[in-house]
Amino acid sequence: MKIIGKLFSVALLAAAFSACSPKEDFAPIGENLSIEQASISGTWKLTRVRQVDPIAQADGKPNEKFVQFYELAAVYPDFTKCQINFTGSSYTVTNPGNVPLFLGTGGAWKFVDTAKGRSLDMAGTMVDFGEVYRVSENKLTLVYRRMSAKGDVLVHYFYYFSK
Amino acid sequence: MKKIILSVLMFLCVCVAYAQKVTISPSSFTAKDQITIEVDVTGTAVAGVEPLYIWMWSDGGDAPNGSWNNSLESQVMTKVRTNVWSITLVPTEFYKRSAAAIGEKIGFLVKAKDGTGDKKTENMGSPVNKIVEGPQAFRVFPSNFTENDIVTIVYDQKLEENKDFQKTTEIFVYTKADVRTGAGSVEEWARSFEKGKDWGEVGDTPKLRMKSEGNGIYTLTLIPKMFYALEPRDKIVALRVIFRNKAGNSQSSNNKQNVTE
Repeated sequence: MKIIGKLFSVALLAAAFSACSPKEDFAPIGENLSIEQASISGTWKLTRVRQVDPIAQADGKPNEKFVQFYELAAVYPDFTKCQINFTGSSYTVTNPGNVPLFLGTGGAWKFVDTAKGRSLDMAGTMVDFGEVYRVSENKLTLVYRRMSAKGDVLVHYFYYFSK
Repeated sequence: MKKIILSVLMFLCVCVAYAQKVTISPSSFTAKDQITIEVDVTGTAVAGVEPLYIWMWSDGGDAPNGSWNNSLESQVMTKVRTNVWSITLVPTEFYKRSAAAIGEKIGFLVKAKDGTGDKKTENMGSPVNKIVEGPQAFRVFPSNFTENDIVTIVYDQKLEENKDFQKTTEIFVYTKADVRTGAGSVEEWARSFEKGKDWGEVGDTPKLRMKSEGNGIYTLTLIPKMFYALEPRDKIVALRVIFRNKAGNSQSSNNKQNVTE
């Protein structure tokens, strides 16, 4: 009977040791959601331009076309021919249809970090990031916000790019 | 009885004197219209004080005035001449509130930057016309924009009051811009879509033909600064729009949309 008791104790200890062994492997956390140089480097094709009325949104107007938003490619189809190429510290714009693109015409770019987050200075034109993507998603959304002379935001232009 | 009549007469005199201190142009306006308030402070506690600041309130709350002993520079007025000061503003922009929030009257006074010691005028005010709520035949998207923005003129023919014009299927836009000229004056209906072209040429100008969006909705998209034939120092302050048929013998009423500077 004592032998059975000792054997049981040994088995219990073995089980305890086994439970403590660090064998578990965790899957990789994955790519960061961040805005870094790699987030914008390369050539981007403009796929969609959405004009948004932030004042109509704030006033609770209906979420309808010509009230809160308008897809501008419907009236300027050449938006989808536009491309932007970001290299180390400069960018170029290809705009064969000469459509009204409020992202500057090319030149130097740099990140601008403020309390509100990270923005983009495109040759003097300040642009916000509409969404944060993983680099591998190959997506980029830039937002140009038109302001009045008094500094009130009147209109948002959302530019959706993909590679 | 004499005392009562005398009191009424004195009250009326005070009202007349009060009315002469301030002019608002235009005298009838909504919260989304640009107005100029001009105040003569002669004989008040701020006569001779410079600069002067406006302090505004409404049913929906105060404008961003700053504090009583330190008015914000956004409220500073322009000296017109000795003791006469003016300010031009759009109530919704100035109060940073919607028209509904501003309500049906605005109040204001004129004060020194530091109003301590009652360095101010008496209270003044004006009624504000209610903006007609509900869908309108004419609207513009976005609701507020500058002359550099992409702007879509939207016409809902179903809401047209001219029953004859409701039958028109090919709709053109007759439009002109009100501008602030280089000399500083505002000229209404001043700049057309192309220099020298007017009502007679509209029906033969494809870029003035509206696009049918279905369900009686027609649109025309433009960038004001590029669309109108401007003089070099012009600033667009409003768009004027009349919807019409190709022949030009049937039309809507006149419409106006302010442009934010």
